[in-house]
Amino acid sequence: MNKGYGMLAEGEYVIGEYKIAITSRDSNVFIYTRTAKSKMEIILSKVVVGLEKMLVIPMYPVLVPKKITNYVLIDFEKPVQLAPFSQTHIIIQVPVDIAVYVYKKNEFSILDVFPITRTKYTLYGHPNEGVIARYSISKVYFEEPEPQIGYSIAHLIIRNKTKEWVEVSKVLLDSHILRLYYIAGTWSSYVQDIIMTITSRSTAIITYGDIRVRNVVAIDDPPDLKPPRILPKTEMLWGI
Amino acid sequence: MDNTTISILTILSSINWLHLLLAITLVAVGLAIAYVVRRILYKLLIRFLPQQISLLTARIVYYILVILFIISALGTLGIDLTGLVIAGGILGIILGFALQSVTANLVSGLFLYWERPLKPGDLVEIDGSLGVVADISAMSTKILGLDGILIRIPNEKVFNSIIKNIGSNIARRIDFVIGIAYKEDAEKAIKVLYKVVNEHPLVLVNPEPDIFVENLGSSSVDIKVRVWVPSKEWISVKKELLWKMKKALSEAGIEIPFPQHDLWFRNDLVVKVVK
Repeated sequence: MNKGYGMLAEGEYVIGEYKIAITSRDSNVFIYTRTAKSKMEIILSKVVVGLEKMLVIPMYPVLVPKKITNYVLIDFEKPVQLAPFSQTHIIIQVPVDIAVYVYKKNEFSILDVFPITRTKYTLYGHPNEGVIARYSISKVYFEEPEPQIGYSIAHLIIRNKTKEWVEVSKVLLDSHILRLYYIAGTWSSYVQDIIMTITSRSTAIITYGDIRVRNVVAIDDPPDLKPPRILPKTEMLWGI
Repeated sequence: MDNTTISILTILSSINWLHLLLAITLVAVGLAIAYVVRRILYKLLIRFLPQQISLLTARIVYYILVILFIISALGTLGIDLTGLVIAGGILGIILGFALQSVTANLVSGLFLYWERPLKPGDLVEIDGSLGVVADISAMSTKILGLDGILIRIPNEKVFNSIIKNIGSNIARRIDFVIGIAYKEDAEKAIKVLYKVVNEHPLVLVNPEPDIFVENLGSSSVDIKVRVWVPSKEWISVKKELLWKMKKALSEAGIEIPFPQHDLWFRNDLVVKVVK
């Protein structure tokens, strides 16, 4: 069993339902193999030449089985009722996949991405104007839960700016704006603070704050998921 | 003075120089106006239409303006244009007939751009042809069929056809009908099918899958399976799911029957055995 995110050396690791084997042909050529732990069938095998280091890191959960969206919808196990003009701070778990990066100096390439949790997608909104999103259910925590492989911890600040009571049961996140961090040697993973400003009974604006945890390492974002330069926010227009 | 010089002087003296100057001015100003109109029209159209069509429309307007100004200039010089108008009318009728389909395709292309029922990259079905829109030009729409064959459909036909744009919405529903034998437990089969569709990552959680007995058929109890999937992935999901559902039903010991017919004879059936 691998003890957490960070460097991978030659050897065998068990991560979730998969077994990863890294063997070397010589000092320059490595063979990376991922097999299903239960069936021992090879899922992926690649030859890597000239790498300097290999990292296992958390990854935005939108790349497997293929990238069809950049959104993640998290349903709360218990909805949260908010009084008019009130605010709360809860903690939720955001699903993450696992990625294996290979580096040569500062240049990196994604060698492999695989899921740890069950991958499901959903439609948020209507077929003609909504968005497809990776789907996950999270408990609502008030203190940080134990680190768990396959999940990142998100501090979610919900602000009700309306004059009425509102019920919040979900949050929509954009992987382009989300930033993933990890603590090397553990399965602890975090995203930056998420601020959900409720603008009506069915709409909200999601903005993204700073990371509150110290001594964390930010992942190198894949080229497909670079953050936008303008309007770094997500709008929830079809229910909250 | 010789005769040639005299005749040249006669011609020159008969010319109305003021009218000539007016005609030249009219043509020069007309060319300038047509040029400016072409530029402005192109810049306006390029916002809504593709470059090819914008350029073509701007050019047509330019040449029409130039011709109108030339005709006006000739009129100023006192040239009788009756013949020219008649010839132009006849030419127009001939060209109208000859270019009927070309004009229809061009106008249909403009309306297609305006209405935007499809765009390059969409998976569409037009007049029975299924494929991805490769290009929409002034005259035709090109579709890359799923078998890799490029299909060119004139814009007039596209405009008048029923267009099924499969990829215009982000999600779509796919339906399956699966028949099970009458002796089987339909509720058990529905549970098995729910398990299969819920395990598929691209079957959407919301809208929820819907599985129910739809029909008591002649040979089977027909179960309808309705699932929503991302539009771009519907073909791959359809291919995977059907076989997975069949396998799951077989593994659960649920029979998918062949069509069967019971024959009833009006009279007793007499079997004659010849030894």
